[in-house]
Amino acid sequence: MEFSNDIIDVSLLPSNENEVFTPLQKSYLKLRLISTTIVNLLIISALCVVVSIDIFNLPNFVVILLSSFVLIRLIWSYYKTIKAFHYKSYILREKDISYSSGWIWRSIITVPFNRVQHIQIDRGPLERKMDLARLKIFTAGGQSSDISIPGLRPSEALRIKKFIVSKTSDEEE
Amino acid sequence: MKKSDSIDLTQPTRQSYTAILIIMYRLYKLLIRQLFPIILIVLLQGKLASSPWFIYGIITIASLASLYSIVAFFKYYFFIKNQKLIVNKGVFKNSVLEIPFDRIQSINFEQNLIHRIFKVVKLNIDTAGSAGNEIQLYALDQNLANELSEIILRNKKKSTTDEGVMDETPDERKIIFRLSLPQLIKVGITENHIRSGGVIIFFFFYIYDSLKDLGINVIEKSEQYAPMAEQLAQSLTLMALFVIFFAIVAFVISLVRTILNHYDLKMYRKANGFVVVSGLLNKKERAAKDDKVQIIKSSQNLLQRLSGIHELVIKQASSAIVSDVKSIKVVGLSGMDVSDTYRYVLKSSFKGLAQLNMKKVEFYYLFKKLYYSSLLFLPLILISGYNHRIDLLIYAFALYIIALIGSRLAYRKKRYGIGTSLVKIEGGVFGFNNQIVENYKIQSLKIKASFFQRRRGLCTLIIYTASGSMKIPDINEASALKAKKFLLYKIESSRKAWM
Repeated sequence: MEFSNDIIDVSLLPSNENEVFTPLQKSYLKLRLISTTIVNLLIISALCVVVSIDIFNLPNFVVILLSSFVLIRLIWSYYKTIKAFHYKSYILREKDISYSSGWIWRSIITVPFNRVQHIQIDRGPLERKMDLARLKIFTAGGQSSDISIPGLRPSEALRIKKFIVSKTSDEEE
Repeated sequence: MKKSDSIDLTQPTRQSYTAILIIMYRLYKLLIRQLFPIILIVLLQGKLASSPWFIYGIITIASLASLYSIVAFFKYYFFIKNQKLIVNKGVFKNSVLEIPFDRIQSINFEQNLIHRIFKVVKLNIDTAGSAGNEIQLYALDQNLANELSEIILRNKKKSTTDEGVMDETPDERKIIFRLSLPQLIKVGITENHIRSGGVIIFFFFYIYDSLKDLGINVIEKSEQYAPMAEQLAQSLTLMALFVIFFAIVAFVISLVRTILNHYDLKMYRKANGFVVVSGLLNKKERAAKDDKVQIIKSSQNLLQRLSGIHELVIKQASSAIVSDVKSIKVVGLSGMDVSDTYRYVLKSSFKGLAQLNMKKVEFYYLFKKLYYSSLLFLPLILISGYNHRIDLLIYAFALYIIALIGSRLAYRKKRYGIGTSLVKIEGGVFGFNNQIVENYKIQSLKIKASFFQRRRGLCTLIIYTASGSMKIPDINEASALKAKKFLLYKIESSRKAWM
């Protein structure tokens, strides 16, 4: 094994700070909104049941408080979903893939291809309906170090998967 | 290789007969642990214990358990076939496990008291795969165990024909470090006694809870003694005595635990890895290959700092990252020993360690800590002051001061260095610790920033490895991006196997 320890000029290294990230498919926002709506509907119906049956004998002000809380949550959940969607994006480079997400807690995670363990494409029932797929890239670093990119076209996901697989097998030769 | 030819591992082989004893022992232990509350209630309510039914019950359970152990023993056999270790087992349902040698990550030997009396060893065979996929051979004759592990390791080498450095004879054992008895006692004295205190408290709560589950309320029972207890509580000297007694018990427990775990600790080189053997009653042997080592963490608590000894944790790549099973802990090392170990594990990267330029994190790290401890303690102080609870006020104030000092110390000690070959992160509050990972062993990198961090142009860099993650908190965004860029370059241009 040869040993090298050259000095490297960091400014010459390739970077991804100025590169343009690819946003997710617009229909993914629709999907997120639908699932948010489903959750909200569940909460609202639960609230309706509690209020109409009145098993807990809730005083009026509690009902008002609860309803306003649910209302705020409702608005907030849509606002958050829309906001967060615009921060979700990915970038594929020659040797690595990055996924950026988060509105309040922003994060960018980068996985070099030569550390990828395996890749998986997931499609739930809603995703199948909307022609979307989720690409999952696993590393040996545990759950929080894996990348999961939602809102891709299935063909896109497959292409990325094939690209990464070809890159990882290059490495091994 | 020459070895006694009497051992033929291609034929189905059973474990040593001692295994019956060990299976039985494990089963009894499990039963007792499960039935502990019932046993306790029976013993407490004297009448039941003397009834013949109780004794019959015990005899039935015991004989069933023994029968089970014997059947389990005879149903358990293993052999080698086509580069695979095949294990047959199961009492009610037969199961066959096939493990290709390549998948075997490590083979560890273990000996507890029973093993030592009968001169057998326990073999833990770890595989790469989900947790629970490992094989335990409870008792094997020493020769058989050696033979088995050698066959597996030898054939493993053949299939992975990578580095040519593997030529060292496997028996070449070079002692790097040996823990002497005085040093061991020093380790015991400087242990974290607060943790032992926690164990005691936990134990009392456990007993209390089990009793309560059974309808015996300790508080109610003790109320008969309440007047006396009140008197006791009032007498401060007794209170102080109790504290001292508690401290002594905690101290003794951690001392005993240290001696049991680390007695006669030896760390030596074996081929391209480390072997650590230790233990008084339970002798454990753990092995780590240099390539498998991901993070090396050395630490000192306050007492250890004063006596100049270090603790080293060598974290290996494993499927079950969260569990501590795969990390090897060595205690009582001097600064020299630590640096020797670094030299072995890091090899060519070792030189980079001295050249690291350690940088501080941003002031926000301290600010955040001060802010949160104030948020916690100031209301407490105000409330207790408002209610004229001077005693609470003093406690809260003292804790607040400690938290402030701790924050300051944590900020001063938090440093990070990113070199051409490795990353080092230092930290600690009253003690000191540092973690080292070689650049090419990094799995992925994450930059994370909260709303508050972004407002100040800061972020946190998280470095993921195959044995856990390391965090560099609150550094400015430009330097985080620079570091990430550099590390990515290092990973992507590396062709070395990270494991």
